Amino acid sequence: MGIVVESLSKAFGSTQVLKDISFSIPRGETTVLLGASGAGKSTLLRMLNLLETPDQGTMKIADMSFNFSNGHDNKHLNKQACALRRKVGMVFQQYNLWPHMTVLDNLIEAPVVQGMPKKQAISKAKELLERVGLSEKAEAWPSSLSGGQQQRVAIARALMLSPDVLLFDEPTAALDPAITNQVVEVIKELSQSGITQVVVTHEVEFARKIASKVIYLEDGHIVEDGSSDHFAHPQTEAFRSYLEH
Amino acid sequence: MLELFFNATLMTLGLALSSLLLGLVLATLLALGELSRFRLLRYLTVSWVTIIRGLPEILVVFFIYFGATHLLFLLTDEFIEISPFSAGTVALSLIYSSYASQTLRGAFMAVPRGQSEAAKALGLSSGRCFYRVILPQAWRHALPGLGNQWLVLLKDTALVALIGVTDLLRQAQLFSSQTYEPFTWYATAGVIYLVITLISQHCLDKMKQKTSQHIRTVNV
Repeated sequence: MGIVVESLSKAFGSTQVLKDISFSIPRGETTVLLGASGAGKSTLLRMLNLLETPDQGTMKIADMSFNFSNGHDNKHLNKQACALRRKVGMVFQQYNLWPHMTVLDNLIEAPVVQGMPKKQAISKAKELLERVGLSEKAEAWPSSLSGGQQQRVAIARALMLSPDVLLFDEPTAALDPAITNQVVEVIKELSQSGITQVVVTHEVEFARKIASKVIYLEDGHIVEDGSSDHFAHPQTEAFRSYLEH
Repeated sequence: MLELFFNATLMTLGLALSSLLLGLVLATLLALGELSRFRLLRYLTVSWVTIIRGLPEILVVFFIYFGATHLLFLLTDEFIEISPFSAGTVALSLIYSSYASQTLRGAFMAVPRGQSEAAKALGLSSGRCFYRVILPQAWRHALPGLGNQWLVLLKDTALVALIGVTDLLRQAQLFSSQTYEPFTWYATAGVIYLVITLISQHCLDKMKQKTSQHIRTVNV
């Protein structure tokens, strides 16, 4: 099972950011959430690991179910959120590596706290660094790495917990176009391994390269939802004009 | 005489260091209180910090020393004497913490939100996140300010002479009235304060280097 979301909505104060969002993503797909800034795509992504709490709706993700419709109990939800986040990894636009820890320490911090033996964590970290092409950077400080390298470390850090789902919030927005391809390679390689990926972006070119499925949002609504064929054959006028601009 | 002066120096250092330790703990709590989600807690901490910062240091020392004795008398109906040393430590740490809390609050706010968000997204508890991610980074921002306030604290210990602790300044005063050589003794005390200050600055520089080791490292 992948991700199933039904009638999710969210308001910040009086601004309705997401209105009655429903979609489902089969396991192993790489889904791109596209839309202009302010369309609600980042908020939607952040709901998938409960960094934002929806006001209403239901969500099934990584074999856990959530129902937000009837005034949820915060304490219980926090506990569940913690468990959920171990199965749903997240990669941020600004990488958010911890600058005072080496690359290796960044990677092993969470798994070691959660009970993985340190030795095992280190060998897993080295394996993952090799996979993202940075095996010689284990002892480096994040600040000595380029943006593309930092983002690949951040991806490796998220993979340390062997998540079922990996979320990317504008992973290439801070990178120059040549470096973006490094991230494209990693995402493509990961999609071979069967992990479910959800990527928020506003870069159409980047989206085309990685997507197996696309969801287009406008003003908190889903306007178009379909396979990557929709890039070639958009079904709605709104998505067509978005692709052309 | 030398021995007495040495003891007085130890007393000054002991007062300053114990006030520093207690003060840092209090400052962290006050800074967190001011950044708290709960409005009442925020108001209470802000008012407390405002009051302490608004009073002359010597008044805080008197309040704690005489006030606490009186308070204990009212509560227990017994006259319990508080040692000037502990009263001094408490008073100085209150003063230190109310200034240091402002430095710390700024330092906590200087750590980008994304840092704790990344910790949250990896399933770290908020306590672990504070201890491993926020505190070490805030510490680097806070160190210069805290170091400055430490030097002020060091010299504020002289206030405690007024409630009867024989610290460096009090000892100098005693000697100069015995020997009628005020300049010699006050100058000696001055030199000792200066030496402690220089050593502190050296240690602070080392700590700053240590906390900044991850910044701008050179690729070899």
